[in-house]
Amino acid sequence: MAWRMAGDDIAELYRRHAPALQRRCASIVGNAEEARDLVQETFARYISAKSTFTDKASPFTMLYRIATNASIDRLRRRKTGGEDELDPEVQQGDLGNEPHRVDKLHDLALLTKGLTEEELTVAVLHHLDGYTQDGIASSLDISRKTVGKILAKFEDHVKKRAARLGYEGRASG
Amino acid sequence: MAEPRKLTDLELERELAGDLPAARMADATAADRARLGELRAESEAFLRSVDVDMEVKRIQQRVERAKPEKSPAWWRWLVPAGALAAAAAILLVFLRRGDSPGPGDDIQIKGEGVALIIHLATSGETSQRLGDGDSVKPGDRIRFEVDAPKAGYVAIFGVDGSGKVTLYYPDGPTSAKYDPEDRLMPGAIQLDATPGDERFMLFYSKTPFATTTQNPAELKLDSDIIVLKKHE
Repeated sequence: MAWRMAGDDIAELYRRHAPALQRRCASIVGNAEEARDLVQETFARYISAKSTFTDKASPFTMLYRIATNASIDRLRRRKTGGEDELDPEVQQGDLGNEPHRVDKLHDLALLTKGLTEEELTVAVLHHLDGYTQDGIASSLDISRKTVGKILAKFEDHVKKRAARLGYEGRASG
Repeated sequence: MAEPRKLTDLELERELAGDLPAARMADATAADRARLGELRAESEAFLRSVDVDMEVKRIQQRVERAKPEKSPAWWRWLVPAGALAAAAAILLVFLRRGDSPGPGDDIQIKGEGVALIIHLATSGETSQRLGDGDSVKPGDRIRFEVDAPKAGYVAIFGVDGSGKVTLYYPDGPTSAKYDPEDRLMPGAIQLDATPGDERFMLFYSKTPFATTTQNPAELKLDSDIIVLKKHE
C-alpha cells in the first residue's frame, strides 16, 4: 500500500522544520521567495520518498540534506548557455555583498554534481559555511572519521570533475 | 570575557526543531543561548509570514504531481471526444465570490493544476503572502507568483470594485511565456483607492492567447482567482 501523509501531519512537520529549511535555502539561493519554493519542494521530496528511506537519520537531518541538495541543484539549473554555465545573476545577484561566498557557491554548483545529499551537505557546511570537521560531526550526528572520509571523497570528486570540465575556477577551500 | 560559542548554528536549529540531544544542549554557553533566541525569533517571524495551510496544500500538490502516471499516456487518445468533454465538464467548478456580479464571477477553475499566489510587499526586502479574503488597503504594493506544473503562457487580470477590468500582466496584447522555474512575475502593482473587493484572475494555457478581452471569463482556460478585500 502506498504511504500517505495526512495534511495535519504535514502541517506539524512544516511548523517544526520549515524555518530552519527556509534559512538554509535562502543562504544558498539568496532569495527569500525562491527559498520558500525550495522549502515546499523539500517537503514534497521528503514525503514522496519517506517510505523508501533506509537511512536512520532524523527527519530534521533528512530534510536539511534534501534542502541543501535542492538549493545547489537550483543554482546549477540557472544556466544560460552551455553545460554548467551559470546565470550571471547567480554570480552577482542577491548575495552581491558577499562576493567570496558567491564565488564558492558558483564553484560548488559546478563541481558537486553527482554527489549524494549527505556528501553535498557536508561539503557545503565545510566549504561554504566554514564549519570545522568536529562541528559538522556534532551537527549531523556522524563521526569525525566519517566527515573526514566524505570530505576526502569530495576533494577527489571535485578534482576529477574540474579536470573533465577544463575548469580553472576558484578553489573551494 | 564572555565564553565563546560551543554549538553550531545547525545544532541550534536542531534544538529549535526538538532534534538535539539534551546532553548536547547542556554544553550551551550564554552566547549559544543568545543565538538560539535570535533564531527562535526569526523562526516565529517566518511562520507568521506564511499561510501554513496553503503551504501544506502546495506541498500536497507537488507530491501528487511527482507520482508516476498509472496508465500509459497513449490511452487518453483512445477515449472518444464526447467522453473527454464530459469528463472536462465534471472538473469545472463554477465559482461565485462576492455579492455583486461582474466579469470575474464567471471564472471557472479547472482542476488543481494552476494557482495564483499574491505577495504583499512589506518593509525592507520582506513580503507577506496573501490568501483569498485577506485585506489590503489603497497604496499597498503586491506581486504575483504563478504555480503551474509545466511551461506555458499566462496572463493576470484584475477586476476592481466598480467592475473595471485591468490587465496586470503582461503589458501587451498576448500572454507571457511562463517557466515553472521562474514563478515570480516581474514588477509590482500598487492598489488604487477604488472601493470594494479586488479580484485577481490568473489564466494559463500551453499555447499563447490574446489578452485584449474585456471579459476574461470568455477565455475558458485553466485559471485561478483570488479575491482581496480592500479597506481604507
